[in-house]
Amino acid sequence: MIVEPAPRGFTDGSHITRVARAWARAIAGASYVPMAHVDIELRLAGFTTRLLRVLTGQPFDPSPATQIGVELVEAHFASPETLGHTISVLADRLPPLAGTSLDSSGRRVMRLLSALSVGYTRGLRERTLDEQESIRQATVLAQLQTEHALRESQEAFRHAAVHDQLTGLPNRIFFEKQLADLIENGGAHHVAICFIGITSLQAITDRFGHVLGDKALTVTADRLRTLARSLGHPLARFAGDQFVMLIEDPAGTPHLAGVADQIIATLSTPVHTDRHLLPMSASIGLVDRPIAGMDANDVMRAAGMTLQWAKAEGTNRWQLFDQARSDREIAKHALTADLAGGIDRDEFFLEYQPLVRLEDRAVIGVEALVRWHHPRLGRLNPGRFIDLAEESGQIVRLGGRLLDKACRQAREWAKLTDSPPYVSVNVAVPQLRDGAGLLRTVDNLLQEVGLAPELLQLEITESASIPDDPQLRRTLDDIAGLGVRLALDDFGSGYSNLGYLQNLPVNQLKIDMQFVRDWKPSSTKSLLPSLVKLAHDLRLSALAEGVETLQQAEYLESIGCDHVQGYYFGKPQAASSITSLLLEWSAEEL
Amino acid sequence: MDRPEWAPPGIDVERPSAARLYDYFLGGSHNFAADRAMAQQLLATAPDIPLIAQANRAFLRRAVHMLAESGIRQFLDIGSGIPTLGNVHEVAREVAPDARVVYVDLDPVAVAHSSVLIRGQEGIAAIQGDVRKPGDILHHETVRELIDFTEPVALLVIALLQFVRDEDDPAGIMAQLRGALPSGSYLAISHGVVDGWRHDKEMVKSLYSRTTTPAASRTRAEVVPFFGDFELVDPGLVWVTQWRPDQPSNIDGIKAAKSAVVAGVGRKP
Repeated sequence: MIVEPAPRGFTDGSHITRVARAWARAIAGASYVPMAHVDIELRLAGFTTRLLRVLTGQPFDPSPATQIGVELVEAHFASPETLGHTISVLADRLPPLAGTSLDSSGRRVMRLLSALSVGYTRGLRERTLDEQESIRQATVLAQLQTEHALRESQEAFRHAAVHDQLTGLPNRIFFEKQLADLIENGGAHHVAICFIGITSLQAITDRFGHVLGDKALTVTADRLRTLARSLGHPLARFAGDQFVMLIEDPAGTPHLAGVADQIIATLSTPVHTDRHLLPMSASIGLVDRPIAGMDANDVMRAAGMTLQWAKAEGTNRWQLFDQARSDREIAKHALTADLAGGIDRDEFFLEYQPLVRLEDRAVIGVEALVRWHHPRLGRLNPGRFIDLAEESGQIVRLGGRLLDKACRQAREWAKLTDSPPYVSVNVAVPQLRDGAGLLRTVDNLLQEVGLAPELLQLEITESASIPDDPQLRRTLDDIAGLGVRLALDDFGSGYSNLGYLQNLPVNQLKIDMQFVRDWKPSSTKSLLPSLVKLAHDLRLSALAEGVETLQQAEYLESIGCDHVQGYYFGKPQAASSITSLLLEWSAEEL
Repeated sequence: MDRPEWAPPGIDVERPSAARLYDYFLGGSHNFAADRAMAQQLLATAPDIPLIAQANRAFLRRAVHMLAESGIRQFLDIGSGIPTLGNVHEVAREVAPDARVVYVDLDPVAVAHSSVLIRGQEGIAAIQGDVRKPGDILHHETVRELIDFTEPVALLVIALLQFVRDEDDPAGIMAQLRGALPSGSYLAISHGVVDGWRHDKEMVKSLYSRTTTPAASRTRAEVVPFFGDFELVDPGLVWVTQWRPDQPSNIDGIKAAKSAVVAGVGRKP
């Protein structure tokens, strides 16, 4: 701060300094001035010098004092009190400094301070208005920034809600919205859904853990993203290891096949990590549908089903949706759903097919065969529903009901004739696995119905699991222990571990109908004689299934086969027909 | 619509803010009717507040000047408020034109105002931040850009901690902030205390509770631990007017104890 020299002839610097000091003291605390105290005094000394020059100027012109007032405020000596104290100090101190008294220079001092006050208040007003303006602008700016930040965070939140965190791809919600928009707004005529399953992922996660699993997934996602971008098709991560690509107006099936092949080629490249080379594979389900009348949920269900077909085909395969196949699967699904209710409503019934002794053509037994009287589909053969009953676990309950029916029927026939036929009932593997339950059911039934155990035969299918499963073996032994007969059904058609046959408590081998069907009178090669001999070597009776002609029957008799079953000797029929048959026989015997 | 949790604090000019009140007490007009109405109530209870505010502001000026003279070139001013007169960068750059300053305040208006004020000046920035989340401040992109934490830093915590209540763990906050600074760094604190307070402190406290930042009441002894293992430079933690005054008299217009603010500067060994 430069202290301007005092006007010559009036006073020296020390007087000025004293006035400045008094002035500083008077206004201290009235406002905050960002200066060291010594600087404040210097600044005020400068103002004092200039004011003194104005006061003593010839001719007197007070207007420069206005500017000093403005400058006081600019230097932050800015408060109402500051002005008051300034006027007091200057009115007192300036006249002596000028070498006059207040009385003699009164008018000049008055006009000087008046000019100073004008400048000061003007400066203060300007400053206040400026500051008000600046804080208001800052508020507006802050408001905008806040709103912007809010929007951004909402945007981020919205983005997070419709995007997958791991891969950054749109998620299922986003995709479904996109598809719904497409259906609603039209534009395209056709849309194809390319449903991609990364089939290798589960194995990678199981073997190496989630970190590597995620790594493989992100690499896969990146590859897919690059491919989808180059093809111009939107891509989303649908769930877990599933991705979905949307193809608008695909140029026919060959085009879709091309896309699917490209995807599989891209995805089946192994993923390198620091320490591993992870083999990758993918399956794809393709659905191509017209937009008109499309149901988004239905098309995605179809895509999911098609992906399952592709997976069942093997790795790195794609499948195109097949409406007929889909219908079949849906029907199958519906039938499964009907099963439980059907059992409750007693829609299942038995037909019986004669088991005939070749020696005298006597009916020594009957095989109970299940039928379903479906309320909508009519009569259904077991081929339509037994597998479904096994898959759904309903077989145990259904099997129990059928055993009950069969035993009661067997008891009826036992009352009717002296040589009643045994009833042979098929038992499924799930029923055998429920070993204790099956044993209890059979035991209770025999007691309750009062049926001789040898009039019940259980047919078990030749199965890979029987020889290795001690639990199943025990069940069979226990059932045989009750005196119930056991037969091995469809022998020779499936798994044949001949070794275990020696120890199995069965009474009869039922030779699969295939062998009879394949036999011709001219045949030089047939396994039938060997199978019959095998049964006999094991001290089992041999029964040939599927006998439809006299020729077959005579041949079987010639090779020593004990029993036969087939259309030639009787189709599966209602219990009442069997009853008539039995009555005829009894009459003949009589 | 409910304001989501991730949204920055809103702007409510109807609610008094400590930053704008401080400006008012320093003679500024960067304030609104709600601020002035409350300022009048505070003044009725404690007419010395403007003098206390001035004394505090003067301490900031002296401390920054001293720090710049000691060779500090980077300043982190947390709770900088509405930039009125004698801002840190102005004081620091009088001594060291290359000094870098980051202003941090919770009040978005204060930050916006600072941004406008320092626009176009390299090495100076204003960011929004909450001292109660020191990690966010220390790792803020702008802070990392302007402040080199391998070189000594001056951390300014002026008239701020009285607005951080004990349940917000000011001790933990300060420990984290101190821990981020390299050896040779400085920490300047001023803190309103109840020791010398002659006015109705409950009244003042309840008035401030209406602002966005309610006040805590502490004694001088409770302020000392905020320095941790930093060594207090002369004259230690003293009444704010007694910290290296640049004039011998009481020209600040306030007797030392009446300031009700203690201040000190510590150096990290």
